[in-house]
Amino acid sequence: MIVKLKPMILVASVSLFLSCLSIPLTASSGAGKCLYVSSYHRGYAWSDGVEQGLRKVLTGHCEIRQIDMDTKRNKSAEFKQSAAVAVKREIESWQPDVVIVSDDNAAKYVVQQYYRDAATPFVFSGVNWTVKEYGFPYSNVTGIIEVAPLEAMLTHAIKYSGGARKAIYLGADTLTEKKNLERVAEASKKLGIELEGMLVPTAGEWKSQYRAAQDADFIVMGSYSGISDWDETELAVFAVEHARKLTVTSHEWMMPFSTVGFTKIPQEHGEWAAQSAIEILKGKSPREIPIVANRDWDLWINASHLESTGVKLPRKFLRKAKKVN
Amino acid sequence: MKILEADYRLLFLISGMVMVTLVCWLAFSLQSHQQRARYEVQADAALQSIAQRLAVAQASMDAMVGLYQASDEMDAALFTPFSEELLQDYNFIDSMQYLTYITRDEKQEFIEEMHESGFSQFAIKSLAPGNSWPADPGYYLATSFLEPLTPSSANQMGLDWLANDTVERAFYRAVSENASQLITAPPGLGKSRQLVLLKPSYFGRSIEANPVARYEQVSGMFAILLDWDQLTISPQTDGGSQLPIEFSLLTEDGEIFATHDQDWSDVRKTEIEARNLVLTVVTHYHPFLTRNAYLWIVVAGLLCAIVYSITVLELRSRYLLKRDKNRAQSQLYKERERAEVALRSINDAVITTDVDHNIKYMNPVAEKMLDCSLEDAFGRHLADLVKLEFQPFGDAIPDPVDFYIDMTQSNLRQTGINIVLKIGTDQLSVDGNASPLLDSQGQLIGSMLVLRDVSLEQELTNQLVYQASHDSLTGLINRAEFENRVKEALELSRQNDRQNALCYIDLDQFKLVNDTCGHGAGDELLKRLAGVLQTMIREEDLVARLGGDEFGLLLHDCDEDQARKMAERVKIFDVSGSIGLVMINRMSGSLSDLMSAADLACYAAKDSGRNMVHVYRADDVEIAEKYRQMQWLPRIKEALKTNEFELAVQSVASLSDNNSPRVIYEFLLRWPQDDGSLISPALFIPSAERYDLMRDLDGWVIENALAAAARLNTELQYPSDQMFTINLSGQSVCDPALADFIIGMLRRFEVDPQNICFEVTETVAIANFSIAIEFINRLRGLGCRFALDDFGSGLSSFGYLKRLPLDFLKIDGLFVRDMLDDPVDLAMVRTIYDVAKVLKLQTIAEWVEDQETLDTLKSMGIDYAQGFHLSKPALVSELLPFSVASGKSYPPVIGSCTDLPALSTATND
Repeated sequence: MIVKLKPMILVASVSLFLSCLSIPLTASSGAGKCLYVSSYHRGYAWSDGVEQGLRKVLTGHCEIRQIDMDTKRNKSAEFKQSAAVAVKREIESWQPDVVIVSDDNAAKYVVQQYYRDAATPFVFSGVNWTVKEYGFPYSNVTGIIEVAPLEAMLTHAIKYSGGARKAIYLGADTLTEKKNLERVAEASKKLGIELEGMLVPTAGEWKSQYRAAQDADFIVMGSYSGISDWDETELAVFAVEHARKLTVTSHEWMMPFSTVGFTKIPQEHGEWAAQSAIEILKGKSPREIPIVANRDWDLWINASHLESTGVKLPRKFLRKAKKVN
Repeated sequence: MKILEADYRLLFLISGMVMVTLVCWLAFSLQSHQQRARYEVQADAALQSIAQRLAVAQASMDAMVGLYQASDEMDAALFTPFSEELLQDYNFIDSMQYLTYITRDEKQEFIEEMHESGFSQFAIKSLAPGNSWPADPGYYLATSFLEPLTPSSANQMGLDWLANDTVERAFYRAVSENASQLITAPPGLGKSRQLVLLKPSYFGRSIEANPVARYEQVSGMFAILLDWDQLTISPQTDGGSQLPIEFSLLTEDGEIFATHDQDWSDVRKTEIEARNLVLTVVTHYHPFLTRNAYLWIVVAGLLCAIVYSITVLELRSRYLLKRDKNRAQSQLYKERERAEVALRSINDAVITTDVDHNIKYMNPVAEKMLDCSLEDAFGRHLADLVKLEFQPFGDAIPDPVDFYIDMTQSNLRQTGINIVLKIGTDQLSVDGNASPLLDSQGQLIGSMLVLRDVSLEQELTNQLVYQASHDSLTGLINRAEFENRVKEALELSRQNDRQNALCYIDLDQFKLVNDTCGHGAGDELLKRLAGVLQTMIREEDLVARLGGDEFGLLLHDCDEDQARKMAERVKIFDVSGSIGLVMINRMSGSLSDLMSAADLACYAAKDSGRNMVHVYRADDVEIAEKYRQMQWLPRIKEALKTNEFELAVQSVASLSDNNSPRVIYEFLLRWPQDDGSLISPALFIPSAERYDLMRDLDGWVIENALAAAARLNTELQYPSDQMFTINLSGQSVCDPALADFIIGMLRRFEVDPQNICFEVTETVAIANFSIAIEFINRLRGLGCRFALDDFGSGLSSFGYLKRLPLDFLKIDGLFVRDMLDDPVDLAMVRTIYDVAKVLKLQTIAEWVEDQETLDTLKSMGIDYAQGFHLSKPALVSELLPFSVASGKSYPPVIGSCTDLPALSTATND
């Protein structure tokens, strides 16, 4: 196993090295060193939002060095492992004062695997729903959990779909989407909604299931992340053409394929993680900083979908929500 | 004066101290008053500001509670936006919390709900000191909503506020009263100096009025945490600085919060609505003028006064110094201006130089004298412009300044030196002076040269020198200079054994030229003769006018033959002259001897028949005789002094019985010698004339003649119709005092002027015509009469004869003596007689020595005759018993002219 891992580590190391070269180092007026480890890659909307919020707050408090594990595009466990090893090497060589990790892979492959109750303080963000599976909290770990405003989303879906109780969840066939599906199902159950989950591996199947979902009262749109042949433009057009029912989502990047969105705000995660890192740099222990969940979200509407579906939304909702054409 | 100055300074110091102290006291008093007033304003404003802020917090609390009551459920969508709004708007609000009121039974479910909502670590924690509950609580008041929720504040989630006694009391009081409660924030909230405004919330839309019912209805409590420091920031008032104001918040139970421990000496209280909250304002105000303030003011005033006095005195000193300096500069400027004006106005050229004798200044006179402007001369060396030379030899003076400084320092002014300033081709005679210029330390900084143009003075000096050595008429050197030259020649002869010759020239009959042709003609003759003499001598010889008609020649390097030839050349000139020649050689005597010898030689030449050259030799008999005669001068003076002279009278006979006076007696001068002989006047009269003794002789004659005339008239009973004649020389006639002298003698001796007749020669009368006429007229006015003596021998002009106021005309005996043998003489006598008759003059013929001549004269009509044929002169002393002057007595003389004794000599023979 170890032998097999070496080539992957090499590849991951080169990838991380190249990634590091592409990230400008941010000089800090403070003496601290902050290592930011992103589970994904630059250009991924969620990750970019988290980084934006993080840098907005953290810049000026420490020297920031960033590592993108790129596990969204490299889904194999070996890659993730090798990426985690590379991160570990970086931590050991650079000796940061605090390490900020975003999203589940970094929490799982780096923190959980190598730094449980270690001396190096960690701040996580973007970990979906719960940290129980990673064994958090550790004495050296704090952070913010990513929760979606599912109840609010489902409540509004029921309201704007005329009191319907039957819904379809459509997403990629990934671990994350499975966890999301569970959360949505749990919330739906509280609200008396009959939810059927459809997790697909390909765009074709996604199209097929999308057309089939038009028979439900409304659709809960999960993330496409993990569908390898996803063509955003084509599928966005497809979705508009075939939209007949209200489609709600908690992912901002899925708004081209949805009617209404209740989306988490990645900047909130980045900002909280940065504020926590600052407190740690000031001397506070991660244990003194409770793990919290995000509390803010954005409202979105897709005008094309609204037109296709004929859904009527209240005037205040239309005015308040952000728009996607 | 110094005492007054010291008193002045002391008075100034004391007055300054008093003044500064008063000013300080007034300033501090005014400042204190103003500060007190400002404090009043600021304290009121601060109280009002705090009350307003608390009112804002209270209003926010009421709004939040009201909103909660309306929605009947607290969630993030309700709490978060409202809280964020308040936190953004009011900086004195630190945070807002919602405390959920739960029972022991509800605790676990509540915790799970919180976990579900994302607070996975949520737990209920005690807010009591030590984070523990004193006893098992039945109720909890736990933080379930918190804004701002940050990593630093997130650990407040789940805190049980009821575990804190203060909060617990406030909670029950708030529910009981259904009102807000303001308490100090319990410790454990992460920040000190906070107030907490609490107000409970209730389930249901309406709140029970019954306190007991409200306890059952309580759902939680809102808490607004206020930052005490931000709450009590005093508002900025207009003008002046902010005073330090402290605050204390009191409840009915006492102080619950204060910013500072104060002595409460100045307390202002206000109530916040009806919540029994009293805000007490305490300030740090202290009046400036405490017990020690006055002492400090005096000390400060003293120091200020000293500084002030020192400053003022220093400024005054500087002012006086500056004023004196300005005055000195002004005075210096004026003096310099005056000096420059003086330099410009003086007539001397003033030139100043630096130590290298480069010109630095010239006054206008110097610019004009050097014909060079100061601008052009500036910086040039003095010697380039001032070129001085000794005259007449032309020796240059290389450095004028050094020359004059040396001359000044040696106190030597060389008279007679002529220094000229050369300016191109022109030159000026200058006199100069130079002096070094020294600075105040005595260091040499230059020199000053003063030059005066003495050209005019030099010219006058030259003229004086020339005039002193030259004859003004002829331009020849005069006697003094001639004698100097002779002396030089004499010395040279002695030194070099060389011969020179001295010629003494006396013009023959030059007196006659003056008498007949006038002095103008005589002067012209002398000038021409001088010119001729200069042309006749050699270049190295010298001709001089020694006086009157006398000239001198100094012939260098010539022997006797050459000198004689030279003298002969002079002699052959038309003008006749007698020349005495004396050789100058090593054997010659003194200058005086040489001049005397030349004079004697000339005299000898004149005696030898005039127009002769006589060479002086020491053994020359003739010269010796002349030398002896020259000794007449002291003898004449001695004779006058000792009254050795005597008078003689010779009668003049009337040739007609009708003539009046009937008898004329002419006084004649005689000089008896010890051997009984008489010296002829012809011997000593020339000497008397030569040495200007004729006035003395005439004066003696007049005095003695008038005295004799008086005695002759009275003692010898001379005929009443008689007249005495007295001869006057030319020198006497020209004497203005003679007339008065004669008048005085006439009065003295009581002589009738009509009995006195004065004889003057025609030469004398004509040579001194106007003076003679005035003299004659004056005496004739008294009655005296005048006769013109020796008429005819002097080639007299009948024109003059016509104009002279005369009474008698005496015909020269030369014509009378030979008139019988010479028809010309006879014609002359007859002509003179005819003219005299026409002029109504009586005629007297002299030198009648025989009867035939007498007869002829009678026949001719001549009025009187005189001569040995008629009578000889007789000494008055022999006629009168005693002479007038000598006191000798003379025998009386009675009878006609023919009876008169004959005299051997006469004065005017």
